[in-house]
Amino acid sequence: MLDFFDVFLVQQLLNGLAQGLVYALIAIGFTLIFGVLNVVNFAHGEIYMLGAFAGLLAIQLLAPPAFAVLLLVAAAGLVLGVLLERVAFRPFRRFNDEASLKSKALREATLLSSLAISIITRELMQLYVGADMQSIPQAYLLMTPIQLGPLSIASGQVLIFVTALLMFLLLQWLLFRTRLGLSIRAVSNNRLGALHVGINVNHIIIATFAIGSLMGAVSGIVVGLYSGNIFPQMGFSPGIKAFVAMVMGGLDSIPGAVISAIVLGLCEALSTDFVSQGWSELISYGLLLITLLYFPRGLFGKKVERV
Amino acid sequence: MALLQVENISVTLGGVPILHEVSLQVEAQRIVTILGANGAGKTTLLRAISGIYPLEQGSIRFDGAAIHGQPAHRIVQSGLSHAPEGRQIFSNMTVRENLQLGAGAQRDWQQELAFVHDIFPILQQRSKQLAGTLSGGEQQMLCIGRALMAKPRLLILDEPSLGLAPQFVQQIFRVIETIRQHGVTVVLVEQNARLALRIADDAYVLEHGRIALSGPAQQLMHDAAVQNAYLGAA
Repeated sequence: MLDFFDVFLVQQLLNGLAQGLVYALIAIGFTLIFGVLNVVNFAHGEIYMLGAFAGLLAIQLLAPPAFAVLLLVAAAGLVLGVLLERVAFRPFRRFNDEASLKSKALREATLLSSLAISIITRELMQLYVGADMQSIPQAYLLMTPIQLGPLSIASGQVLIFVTALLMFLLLQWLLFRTRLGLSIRAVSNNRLGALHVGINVNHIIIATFAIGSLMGAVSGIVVGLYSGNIFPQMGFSPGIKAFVAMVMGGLDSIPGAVISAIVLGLCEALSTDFVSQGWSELISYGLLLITLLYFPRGLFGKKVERV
Repeated sequence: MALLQVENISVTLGGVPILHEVSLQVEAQRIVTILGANGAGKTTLLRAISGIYPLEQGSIRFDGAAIHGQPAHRIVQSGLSHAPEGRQIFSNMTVRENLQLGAGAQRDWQQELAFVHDIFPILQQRSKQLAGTLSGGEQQMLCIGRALMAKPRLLILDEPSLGLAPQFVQQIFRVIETIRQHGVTVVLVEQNARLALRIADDAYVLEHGRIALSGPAQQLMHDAAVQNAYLGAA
């Protein structure tokens, strides 16, 4: 009896880890973009959704090998990110004076413009393809069970784990080992300062959107093929969870967001296990509430600095 | 021909006119100071020169080439560096990273780094520290050092002594002299008008967005109006 329980618990923890990594995949791109603009990009969940649809389209039209699907989706994400920045963010970045850079009105305008793009995109997709789940060719589904002793994991869970790890490491490498990363961090830290040292701030912001959206789109297809659920609303709920993870992680800490996302996933799985399915949402938002009450800067946020 | 030639520029920000037909000339290898009360438009003038604010009219020529209308990053690359008001350093990044960013796209910046470390030895000691943990004076040194990393021919300093302890103010002014001796032209905006006039060759007085007075710094220092307004009646 005890043995059975333990195996069951470990299995649930594994499922929770996979779910948390799904949130982490979205949260990485989300946090990257937030860091540079200090504005929440509400359309990130839709990039995730469009990435899944782009992959599906590629599968239906070309039936390429799985790896090529990922590459095509990455390219689509890149283009979508540049477009999104141009339409929803650039128009609000005309001024460089401190008052405008710190203006709440401009920030909120940008926040709402990305929310608008998010709603319009979702509704348009619903109009054209319908709200139902899309059927995915069986060969592409990532649900092959892999047996590890008494435990069973799906091939998709492995792919999610590998993708999350790769993205995280690549991003850390990019941010801390490359010239582009240095500039991204500079723009994220102090945009006026970045202008003064001769950084082309617009290019850096576009590059950040391209990278973040590439990651969002790839996450969409990976999760879509694993869960088998590709539909216009698919970005909404995980997008909110990724947002929660970002806030819990301290807003601008990518490792913080990843850890918080995993904690969220694990808590949801355990609450489903020990209490009931309905409690999982309550537990994750409860965690957010507790974090905000006791760690207003997030679990991994910066300390106050000298000015 | 002057290194920097500003002619009849007007700047309007958010519908409010700030500068009205301002002209000034900066000869190579000189220190030029711009005096003026708070809100006179000094910082706006400097930012317009650096390409951060757009001009409504007028022209700016640097080393003979028109730079107005060019994006700020081009202007830095052409040899005009700006150590801005409020320092605007990258507080979450290390001192070394701040200096590296100052060097822009240059591949080899070791020579510039050595020069900056030579002027501000403390920055070498603090190399790995996050810039936000430095004291105010050290942050100001970092700000000037970062601007020097771009190997400028013209250096704009906006309020370098603001909020600093007296010994730091002395040190910053000594450094301005040193920088000039290395062939860099300096445009200095400074609250401490007495010190600024003492160090400068030429001076301009900005009042309500217009140039009210200009001339050799020595001459302005003895001008009755300047003494009353900026030096405190002696």
